[in-house]
Parts: sequence; structure tokens; C-alpha cells
Amino acid sequence: MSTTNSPLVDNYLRRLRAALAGLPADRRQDIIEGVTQHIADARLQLGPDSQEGDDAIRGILGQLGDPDVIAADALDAERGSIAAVRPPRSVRNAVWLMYAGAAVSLAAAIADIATRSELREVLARTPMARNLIGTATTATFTQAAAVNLAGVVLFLLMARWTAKGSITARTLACVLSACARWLCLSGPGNCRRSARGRRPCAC
Amino acid sequence: MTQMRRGAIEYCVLALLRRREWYGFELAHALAEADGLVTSEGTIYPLLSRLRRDGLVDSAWRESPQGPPRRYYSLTTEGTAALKAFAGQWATFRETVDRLLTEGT
Repeated sequence: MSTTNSPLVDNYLRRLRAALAGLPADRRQDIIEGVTQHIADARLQLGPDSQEGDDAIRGILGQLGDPDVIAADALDAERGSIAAVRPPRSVRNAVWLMYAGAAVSLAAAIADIATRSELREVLARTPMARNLIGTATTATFTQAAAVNLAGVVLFLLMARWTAKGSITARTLACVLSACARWLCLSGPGNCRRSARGRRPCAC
Repeated sequence: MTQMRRGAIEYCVLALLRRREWYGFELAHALAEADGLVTSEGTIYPLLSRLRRDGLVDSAWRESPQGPPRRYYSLTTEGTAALKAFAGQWATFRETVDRLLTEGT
């Protein structure tokens, strides 16, 4: 519904829509529609002379209140109510990325298991005492598989906590991803990149 | 807005709707006028949306003499019952709180 041709109003409604992102789409639409109509009614009441003045519009928007305040109040009221509150898009994206991370870690763990014999052959070509090759294979394989499986579990836990709205989990996930990347790039002992030329861990 | 304040305002809206249908702007204005019961008029719209979802109010579009059609809100049977129940509890609640608040002075 076009109320206005007023950039001030358009901007206000845009901010409100963004701030209400945590609500289901139909509820959000309901609120936006009410506020849009409110602005139109308030402007009608002002009379034709002051209808287009920016100061008059600022006054109306000021009385409506800051979009963030309205949204915070709406979301707060919704908490504990029957209607499910959907997390904002940024959080849903983060959760999907964490699920993707879990999938990559799982794939890496499966690849580790599938290529165990190959690993043995690679290690056999290195200047290593024969009796140590078996131990080295087991140690490298166990470490890599454990890291990847731990990655799966961690990613799933982080996704779950993040979906529940934990900011700490999101921060922790970022730190862990950064650590995983750092281990991958800097620690040849933690990484078989040099031996196999494959990206070994889920980073 | 605190939970208590918000809860009370919901019933104030239901009380206003008891006599006739209102549209959003009127309600927001009346509540803001009533001793600053509502400081951000915009908070009334999430509130109306919740009341509608919970089946306490209903709404219908009506032509307006000027401008686009307006959404008018009315009380449902459930809304009337909820308001009646609240009015009874509120009187007792208010007396108890008043008593406790003045007892020590």
C-alpha cells in the first residue's frame, strides 16, 4: 500500500521490517500493514498543508517510536507464547553453514577410513623403519579420524545452540573454524597435506 | 515494556473495544493520551496482531470517508469473556498491591 512518496516513511518501514525479522512472515506483514495505515491516518489528520512536511512526518514517526523498540517489545511479548518465533535469517544461515561443516567433517572422516591402506603405502615410501610403519599408520589414521569425527559432533552441537539463540555458540563456532584452518595451514604434524596432497580436516 | 504493563494494556484495548469498533490509529492515540499508558504508539500493532491471533479480537475492513479502507477491530466472545475474568481479578490484585505498598508507610 502506498502511503506516501516519503523517503522518511519508506526508510522507517524498511527498518521496522528488518527489525521484525524474528517473527513469522504473516505476523510481520500484519504489523507493517497496521503501522503503514497508522502513518496514513496521522497524516490525514494533520490536514493538507502540513501533510508533506518532513517535520510533521518526523513527529508522527517519533510518536510511533523507534522500530527497534517496537520490534524488541513485539519479540519479547512473543517469547513463551504458543507461536513459534523463527530466528532471524543471519542465524538460520549460520546454522546451515554449521550443518554443512558437519557434513564436510563426516565426509572427511569417511575418506580417512576408506583410504587407510593408501596411507600405509604412502608411509611405506618414507624413510622409516619397517616395524614402525604399522604404528605410524594407526596413529595418523586415528588422529585424523578422531579430529574429523569431533568436528562433526562440535558442528552439530554449535548448530543446535546457535538455533536456540546462543551468541556464545556462534562466536565459539567462528573461533573453532579459525583454529581448524590455522591447524590445517600451519601444523604439518596435524595434517597430512604434505603426505597425501588432500585437504585432510574440515576447515 | 514490562510483561505486567503489556498485559494490562492488552486488557485496556479489550475494554475500549467493548463499546464500539475502533481502528488502529484511534486506539494508539487513545492509549497514548491516557496518561502516557503507551509511550511508543507503534507497540500497539504487535499487540493487536497478538490479540487477533489469540482470537480475542476480530477485524474487518471498512471504507473510510477519506483515504484508503481501514481495518476496524472488534471484540470476540472470547475477548469479552477474557475481559470479564480480568476485571474481577484486577480489582483484588489492585487492592492487595495497594495494601502492601501503603502498609509500611
